[in-house]
Amino acid sequence: MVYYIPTPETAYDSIIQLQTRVPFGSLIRDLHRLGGEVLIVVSLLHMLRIILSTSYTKSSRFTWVTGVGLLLCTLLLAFTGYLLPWDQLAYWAVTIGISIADSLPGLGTSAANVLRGGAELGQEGLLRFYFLHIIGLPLLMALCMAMHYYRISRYGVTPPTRKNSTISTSSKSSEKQYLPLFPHIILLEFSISCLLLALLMLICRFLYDAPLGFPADPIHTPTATTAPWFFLWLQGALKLGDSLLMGISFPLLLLALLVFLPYYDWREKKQHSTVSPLHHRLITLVPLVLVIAVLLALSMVGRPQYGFTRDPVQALLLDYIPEEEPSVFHRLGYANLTLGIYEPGATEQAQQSLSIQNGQGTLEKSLRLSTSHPLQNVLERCGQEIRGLHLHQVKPLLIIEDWQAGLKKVTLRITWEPKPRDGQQTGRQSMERITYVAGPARVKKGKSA
Amino acid sequence: MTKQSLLIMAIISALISALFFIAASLVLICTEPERMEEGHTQWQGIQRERGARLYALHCTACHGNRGEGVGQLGPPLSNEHFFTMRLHETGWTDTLEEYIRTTTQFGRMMGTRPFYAGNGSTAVMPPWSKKHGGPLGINEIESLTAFVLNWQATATGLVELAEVAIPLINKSTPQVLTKGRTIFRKKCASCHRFTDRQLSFNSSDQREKGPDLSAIRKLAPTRVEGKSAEEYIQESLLIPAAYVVQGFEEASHNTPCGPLLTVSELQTIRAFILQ
Repeated sequence: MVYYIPTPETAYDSIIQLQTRVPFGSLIRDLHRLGGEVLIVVSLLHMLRIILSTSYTKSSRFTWVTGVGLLLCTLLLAFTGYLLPWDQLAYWAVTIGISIADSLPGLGTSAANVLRGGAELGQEGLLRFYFLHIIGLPLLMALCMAMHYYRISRYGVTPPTRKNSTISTSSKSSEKQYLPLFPHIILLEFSISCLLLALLMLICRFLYDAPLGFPADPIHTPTATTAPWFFLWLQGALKLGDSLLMGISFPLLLLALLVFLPYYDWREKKQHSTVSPLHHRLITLVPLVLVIAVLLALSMVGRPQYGFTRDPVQALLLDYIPEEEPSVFHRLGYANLTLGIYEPGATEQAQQSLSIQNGQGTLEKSLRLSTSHPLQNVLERCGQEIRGLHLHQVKPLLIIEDWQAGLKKVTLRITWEPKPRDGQQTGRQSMERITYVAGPARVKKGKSA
Repeated sequence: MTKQSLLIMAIISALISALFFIAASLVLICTEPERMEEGHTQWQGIQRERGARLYALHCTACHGNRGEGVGQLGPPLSNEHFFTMRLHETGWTDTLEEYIRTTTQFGRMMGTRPFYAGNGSTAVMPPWSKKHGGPLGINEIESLTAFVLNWQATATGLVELAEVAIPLINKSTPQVLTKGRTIFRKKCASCHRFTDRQLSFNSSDQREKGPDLSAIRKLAPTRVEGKSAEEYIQESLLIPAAYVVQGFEEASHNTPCGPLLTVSELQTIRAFILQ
């Protein structure tokens, strides 16, 4: 909040400044992003545990409802925060997200306009999302949290032990055995918080980088726009039906099911109190498993690869060199990109003759890549995939050249002979994609950078 | 297990967790300077990559594929002169980085070198920032600046680049030529025609504003010494007044061809003209 300036011109730069100039800035951003996503996972697991362990009773039904409110706040916080870096991924995911509201009859368009701050996401919209993220939703979440904790302190929680453990057997006199909020629960939560925070910090330092794509460009729509993983199910649902039914009615139905679950479940428990805990919950569990399966299936459908027909050659080129994400060659690393002209999938002899044909005697040595060379693996895989396209007289080329000090240009090009149309040859066709990979510059001997 | 024993366990686990947290924090504090350095270097690399992409998209038509300049149209950006003399030439008192950034953002209304396009009296470089009517955002200007500045290492001989002879993509496919014909018809045919190909789109207007291009394929490679046919056509498209055919002096000075075309259209038309 100290370094972030919520305007389309400065938002992206603020994030860059935070990551590169501010001590621990990157750690804070990574923690914030990863922490938010882990919070969603933990909340869902917590809810699942409560359902499976029959932890809610008549007195704690409303605690569950406040918990659902907390989950909703967490999801909305993640959604509003997603836009703030103002990169392409965020901009287009949120644009699609808000457009769902447009389909609501009556107030839909007005609601979407209020959220966007106009017909398009811009300065106004960014400020509104920022406000919601730092003030509006946290206040709502604090309210839900206060109610949640009040109910826990008032009615207690089920102890973290099994029914046949000592704490239950030693206190047979009382029907329910609760642990007091202070100091037991607080100390336990403090321990878990410290442990998880330390783990998250180490993961953020050594394993995780919060994603940041290209700066948002309202004129250029990326080829593959994807929602954050926790909303992929919604994107999948939208692909299958219209926005009103799948974008609004379906999530509201899910929410209603979630809110009324303990009420329904509790009645079941009363009626079948003599039946084993698993059996009397079957009626709840079967639909629950079904809902989880449907959500997972919808998430698969929601992925950008599904239901989006592309030219197979273009799709293959985009797999290797995508528009927004780092390419295969970025993952391979600057040092592994040996300069030269290669034919993916060709034998060593073919590679060599290719170099001679292009008058590159000096590069001959570099073209003899060992079988264990990471680039050789990419070439083989790429060659196999290109052969799988079944193009006539296909000739793929991978060109790696020095472009600047510490910058290599990588061109992946596929040329082929298209099938004759109406008996007429149309000449060879060609498609290519280019990317640049940065790394340290090779300074000449005897000179210093 | 009694509540008391649970409490003792809770206190012990809280202490162990706190110690683990402190240890993790210490690791982070010790490695932070290294991480910041890494982050900065990584970001500089990303800037160069994005700058290269933007340069290929917007700048090559005037400044050349690798900053070598295009004839009289755009000056070189990757030679030693640019990095050692340019600031003295213009009297710029700030850094070269600021010079590149400002020039890209605001463009240049008046040329400082009459040799190049604009001839000292008209705008020579358009403004590129969105604020001033261009297509680029602030971040993109920054990336371009970083990319152009990075030529310094090769311009001053600090770094030597290996050369790879690239087999050029075949630009004369039927698709390209058909597209070229359509663009020619829309944007060039009001002045030029091909008598040999029986391509005369402006039959109503008998006045010839531009020369007949029938013999251009033979003429282009030898028209200007030291320039290939492609270079000659490209420069003529961008600056019609660069090489004027006798009798068309007036029209060549009043016809803006370059600004009407995108880079891709320019390449397509070039392929069509030289087919």
